Amino acid sequence: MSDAPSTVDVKPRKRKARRETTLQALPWLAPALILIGGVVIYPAGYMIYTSFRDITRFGTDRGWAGWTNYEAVFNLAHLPKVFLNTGVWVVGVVAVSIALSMVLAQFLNKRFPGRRVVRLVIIVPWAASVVMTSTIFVYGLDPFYGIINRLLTDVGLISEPYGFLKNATAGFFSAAAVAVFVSVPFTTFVILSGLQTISDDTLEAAQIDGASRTQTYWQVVFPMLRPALAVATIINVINVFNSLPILRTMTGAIPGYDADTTTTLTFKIIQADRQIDTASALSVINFLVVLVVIGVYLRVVRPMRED
Amino acid sequence: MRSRISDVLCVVAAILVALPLYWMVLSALKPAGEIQSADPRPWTFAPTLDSFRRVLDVQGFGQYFLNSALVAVLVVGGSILLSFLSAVALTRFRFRGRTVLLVMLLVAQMVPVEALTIPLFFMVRSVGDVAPAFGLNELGPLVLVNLAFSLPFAIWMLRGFVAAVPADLEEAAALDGASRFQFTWRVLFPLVAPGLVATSVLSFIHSWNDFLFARTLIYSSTENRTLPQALLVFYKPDEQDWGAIMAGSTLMTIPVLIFFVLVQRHLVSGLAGAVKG
Repeated sequence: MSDAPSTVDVKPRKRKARRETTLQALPWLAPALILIGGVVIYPAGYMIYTSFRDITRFGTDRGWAGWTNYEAVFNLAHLPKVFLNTGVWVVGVVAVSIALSMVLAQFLNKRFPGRRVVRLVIIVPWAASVVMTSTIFVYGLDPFYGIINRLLTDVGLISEPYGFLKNATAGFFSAAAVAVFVSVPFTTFVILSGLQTISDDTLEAAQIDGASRTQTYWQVVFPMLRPALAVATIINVINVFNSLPILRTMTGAIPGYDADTTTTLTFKIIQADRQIDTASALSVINFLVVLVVIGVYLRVVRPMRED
Repeated sequence: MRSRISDVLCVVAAILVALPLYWMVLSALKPAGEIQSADPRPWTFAPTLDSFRRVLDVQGFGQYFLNSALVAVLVVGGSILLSFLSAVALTRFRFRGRTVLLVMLLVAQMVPVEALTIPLFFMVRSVGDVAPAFGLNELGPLVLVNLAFSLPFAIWMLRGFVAAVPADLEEAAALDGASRFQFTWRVLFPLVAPGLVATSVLSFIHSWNDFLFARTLIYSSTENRTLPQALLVFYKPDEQDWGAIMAGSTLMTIPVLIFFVLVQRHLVSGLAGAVKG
């Protein structure tokens, strides 16, 4: 009870101080915030707005549409298949990328001759444009002159060249492999930077305590990698979810929707059907799904300490 | 013994990663007859620069290269400056809504980009009526758009770096009579340099390889095209010029690789900023 007067005293002062620091921080933040607001947030708001309008194929706005665009999305016959594909695509590509990257990062963290060169080689798929990497794979998978087909037949894995990009299922999984290929470099480097925050002393201490290599990894190294894995997972989920060029380049020519994710479906609705309003509704749904997935991930895994 | 096996596996993985690159360069050097041969070979005895010549002969290739370079340099410079300022504000000032702002940045990162191309197109068109340099078919909006989309992650990444600089240092600098401005640019900026390097790599790749925005915003100008668009001429529905596509991809990848070689030493420690949270 005796504290009461002092709290009353302190609060306004604190609030005033806060307002002052907010004002001080503003000039530092303003350029970035104005830019992100204008180029990302405003168009995103416009996208949400469009999803509730009735817009013709020629761009004429015919007024309020209520939920009809969303109904149109949920009435698409191929939607369940596309949702399933999206789930497989995101979970599969991200999980495999992270697993491979953990192994690669462990290796690249050791000292060995030529490490710089190997690190540089691993970076290449990250440096190259995704459209071009996908194109290289289209060329390599060609049944007539593709080297990958040739290699697989020579090794005996397949008896004759196979048109990987001629049917939806094979095309989809080939594209997923390419998605892993382009995600691994960034993921590896993020995990590698996480590994470097672990000091040699920590590892030595584990060894002195008699921990085996496997034990050391899972009980000492892995928990310390949590923040790195979280960054890798979040960024990969966002990128893989919204990835358009790989599937577009590799399976875009296959008729039907069996190799589509929500992102490529959105693109098809814009390009082929010219239904901007329906496409906007689907994009909003897409965005909400990513938001929920990341939100749940942050809640469950709690990768970042609150500061 | 176990680690031997895993080392071998990793070398195999590294080779697998390198194969497409090798295949790209090799196909760029193969003579016309070998490129679509039914008997593809992983080597060539008659390397030729013909494919490269076809790429370089594309009308205005040099101009497109310069355009791409100009956009990339401006985006990198802008993202270093703006993400640094924001990261300082987000770590050194305690103000209301700081956490909300951080979450909003992450949300901005999640927006599906291709859906934004249509509103962006209309927006840039109306901006062009007022400021012609930032209208359609100009490089100005391309810089701003690529910059805006690379900022959220850059800020997240740098935040860890700025936070790692102890507050004592700032107090010591203040005692020595340094203003906040002096401290920020003379002390803080050099200290977070590795983080800035990693930021610049990401924004460089982002804008150099950008295809979507370039195609949306520079839809009819021939002189303001960027490199990825220039290479489109070799994509034809039925018969693609694989040699030229591979040569073009090789030429496009080289600048990014040079950039990586220059900053490689700082890349790993640079990403650590994001990882520290």
